[in-house]
Parts: sequence; C-alpha cells; structure tokens
Amino acid sequence: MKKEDIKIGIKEIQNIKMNSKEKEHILENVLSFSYEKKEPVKSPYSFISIFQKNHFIYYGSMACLVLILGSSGVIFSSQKSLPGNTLYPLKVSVLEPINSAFRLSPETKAQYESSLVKERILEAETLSYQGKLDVAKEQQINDLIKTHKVAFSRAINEIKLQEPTEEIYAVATNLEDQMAEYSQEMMAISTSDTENQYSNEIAKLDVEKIPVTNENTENNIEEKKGNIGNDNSKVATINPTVSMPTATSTSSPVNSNNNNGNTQKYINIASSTFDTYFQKLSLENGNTFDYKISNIDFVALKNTTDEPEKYWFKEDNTDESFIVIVNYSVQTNTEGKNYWLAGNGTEGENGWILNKVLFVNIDKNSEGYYVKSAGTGP
Amino acid sequence: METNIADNFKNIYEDESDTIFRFCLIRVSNREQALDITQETFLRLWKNMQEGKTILNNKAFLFTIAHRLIIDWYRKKKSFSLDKMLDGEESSYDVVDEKNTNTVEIGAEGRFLLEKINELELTYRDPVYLRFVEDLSPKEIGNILSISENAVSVRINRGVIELRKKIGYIK
Repeated sequence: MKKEDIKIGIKEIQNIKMNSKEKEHILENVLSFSYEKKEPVKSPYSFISIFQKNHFIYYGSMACLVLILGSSGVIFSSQKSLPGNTLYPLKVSVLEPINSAFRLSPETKAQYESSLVKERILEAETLSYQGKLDVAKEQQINDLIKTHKVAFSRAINEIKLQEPTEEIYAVATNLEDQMAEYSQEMMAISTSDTENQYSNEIAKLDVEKIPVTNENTENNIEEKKGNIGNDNSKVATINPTVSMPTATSTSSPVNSNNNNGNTQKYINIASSTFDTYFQKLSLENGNTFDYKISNIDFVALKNTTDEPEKYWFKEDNTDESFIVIVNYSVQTNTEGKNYWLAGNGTEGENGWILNKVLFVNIDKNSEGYYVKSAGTGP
Repeated sequence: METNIADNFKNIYEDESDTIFRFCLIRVSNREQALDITQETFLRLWKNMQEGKTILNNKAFLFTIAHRLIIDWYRKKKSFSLDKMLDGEESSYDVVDEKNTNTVEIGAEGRFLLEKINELELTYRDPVYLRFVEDLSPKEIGNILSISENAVSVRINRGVIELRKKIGYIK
C-alpha cells in the first residue's frame, strides 16, 4: 500500500458521516431534553439526621431520655413504697425533703410536715395490716415522725414569731391538734412494749409543746386586747422573760402570776399613764409618728415589795409607786431613728423601731398617776 | 443565557458530530447503535453545559464519553450474549462486519485501512486511529484514554510500525 493510498483511505474513512436527517434528528432529540435542576426535597424526618451526623447529640439526648423516663418511673413508684422497700429511702430522704424545702411559707410547711406524719402512720397501718410491721421498721417510722415533728414545731414557732393574728394562731392550733391525734393513732398501732416506748416519747413531745404554745397565744392576745384595745395587728410580740435584761418578773414576790387582780389594775393604770407620757414625749421629740404597746409587765409595788426590788424605788416615791416593764414599738423617721435606736430596739420596716423595752416608774400625786421616771434599767 | 448555551452547543455539534459518529460506527459496527451512542454522548455534553460546568476541551470531552459509552455497550452486549449461550440458545453475538453496514459509504482504500486498523492490538488501535484519522494530539488522546502523553506517543509509534507491516507499506 502506498502512502497516497493511505491518504485516500484516511480521507475515505473521514468521509463516514451521518446523513443530514440523522444529524438533525439527534440535535433535535438532545435539545428537546431540557435539564431542570431539581431542588432536593427536604425529608420530614430530617431531624433524625442530626442525630446520625452528631454522635454526641445522639448519645447525650438518649442518655437524657433514659434518665428522665427512668427517674420519673422510679419517683412515681417510690411514692407508693413502704419501709423495707428498695425505693423507700429515696422517698423519705430525697423526695420529701425536697418537697418540704419548696414549701416556703411556714404555714404550708407545717401542713406538709403534718401530712407526712399522717402518711407515716398510714404506712405503719398498712404494714401492720400486712403483718410486716417489725421493731426495726417501726423504729424507722418513729424516727421519721420525730424528724417531721421537729420541722413542724420549727414552722409553728416561725408562724408565731411572724404576725400573731388570731387566724394564724387558729391554723397553728389546728395543726397541733392534728399532730396530737396522729400521735395517739401511732400509739394505737404500736403493739410491743418497745414500740410503745417510742410512741410515748412522741406523744410526750406533743403534750409538752402544744399546751405551752396555746397558753402563750391566748395570753398574748388577751394582753394585747387589754392594753391597746383597738389595734391588735402589726404589733411585734416580745416574750418578756426572754428579752428582759435581768430576771425581774420571775424573782419578784409580786408578779403577774400570783397577784392577778392587783396586777391587772396596775397594768391598766400603767397603760393609760404611759399613753399620756408618750404623747407628751412625741410632741417634744417631733420625729415620732406612732407607737404601739405590745406588752406591759408588772414588776413591783413599793409598799409590798422586799429586797432587792425595794432599792429600785427612790426615797421620795410614795407608797403607791410601782414599776412596770413596757414593751413597745415606735414609728419614726430617719432623723428620729438614732434617738429611738439608742438603748434597745431593732429596726423594722416603714420606720418602725421594734422590741423596745422600758422600765417605767409610775407614781401618784394629787392629780393622779404619772410617769416619774423611765429608763432602760430600774 | 439559555440561547447562548444552545448556540454554543449547536456549533460544537456541527463541528464534532460526524467525528464522534464515525468513531462510534467504526467501533460498534452498527449504524443504529452508533447513532444511539452519538446522541447519548451529545446529550451528556448538553447536560453539562446546562448545569453551567466549564468544559476545557470539547473534543476530548466528547471522545472520552463516547469511548466510555462504547466500552459500556460492549460489556452489556457481552453479558447478554453469554447469558444466552449459557441458556443453550442460539448465539446472537454480532460478528463485527463492516461490510454489512459500511459498504455503501466507504471506498476500497478506506475499508482496507480500517480493517487493518481493527486488526491491530487493542492498545494500539485507538491511539493510531485517533492520531491519524481524527488528527488528535497525543495529549488529547491521553485524556480520552486516561493514559499519559508519553504512553500515547509510544503506542502510536509501535502501532504505526505494526500497521505498516500489515498494509505492506511502500514509501
């Protein structure tokens, strides 16, 4: 084959072509194919892919889920657990203290604690019904009841310290009665001697506490009524035996406990005399707006008293002269604050100086009783 | 923009369609099949252009696609035939026969040359064909066949020597 032939051959090969019809047909086919860029459709389950992409999120959320589902089940089932059950410690030493901590006001706290006592009793009843109540379990329940009662009394004391209105005292007394009832029930459930011992202790706890607090309540309310007459709200209560600097009323032969008729008389006299004295003092001071007597304690009368109170009276005192301790609060402004805070008293809200104590010597002249001297000590 | 792409495509089609068709026809020896592969090749180019992809060398791109489509076609054909053979049926394997399909369009010299090229070893056949018939550079051939430029040159040289022997080349 010659070189020229090869060239011809190549030319011939190159002449292999589509005919015009075929050519047009293919072009038409290709151009009619319109390529549309399709947007990917978002899957409705795309959130699953987040978990698939990020293993931390996946395992983290799974752990949370398991924890929530698991713990809610545990908490729920622990609610019904009884002493001796595995979940019982969770209930009494985790869930209930948390619940109690979230009860912020002392009333609700006291209510909750008393309801817990009731629940303990129910538990004890259930166990005794099932025949599963043994010494160890009863002791556990009793210990818990003791704890509840301590928390309860703390809450009750707090209530009494706050605002001693009659309603609050009623609530507190109701709760205390309820508690006493529960204690009785508990005693009834207990059968063995050892168990009775525990229950008795609890019952004692109530007997000691409840009547004392009730008495205080009544006394305080009565005194307030007697002394102030019209206003028994917004008054700070001070227990005189606690806040007194010296043991006066208890050691004195003449005191409110054994000289009831006369004491009341002197207290009434002291109340009105002190009123006049205070009004005069307010006018002189200029920075005093209001005052409230919370308590008046009779200390001694000159002609009936012996040592050492005798020396509290001056020689020029008449025999009618007597000494009282006045607990009161004063409302003042910033200028008068320092004056009133001197000696004793604590700063309260709205310019009130609370818990002030004054020894007042009241004497009698031709015009009647008057405040002869007043001070922080006799 | 759309018309620009279409015009551009039409120009390329005008320039390269015959070359690609020829390349396909020589390899598959079936006019219909060659047309089919040609259409598919240009369709791929069209898609790429519409997607806004930049193609550096249209000729090389088209040859590469055609080359791969032909390989695919051969694979399909082979598996199909083998299945048939395994089933014990009559073989439908098409024996490559240019005479059947190309007699009308190709002259004696051309057919002879083509026969001899087809007789070359597979490694030499495509480089020689693409170099001398389609007049592609070794670089372009390398791109199409996915081999280096040097390898292409070596294959062309050896292929040409072999082809000369076959055709009884006389200077």
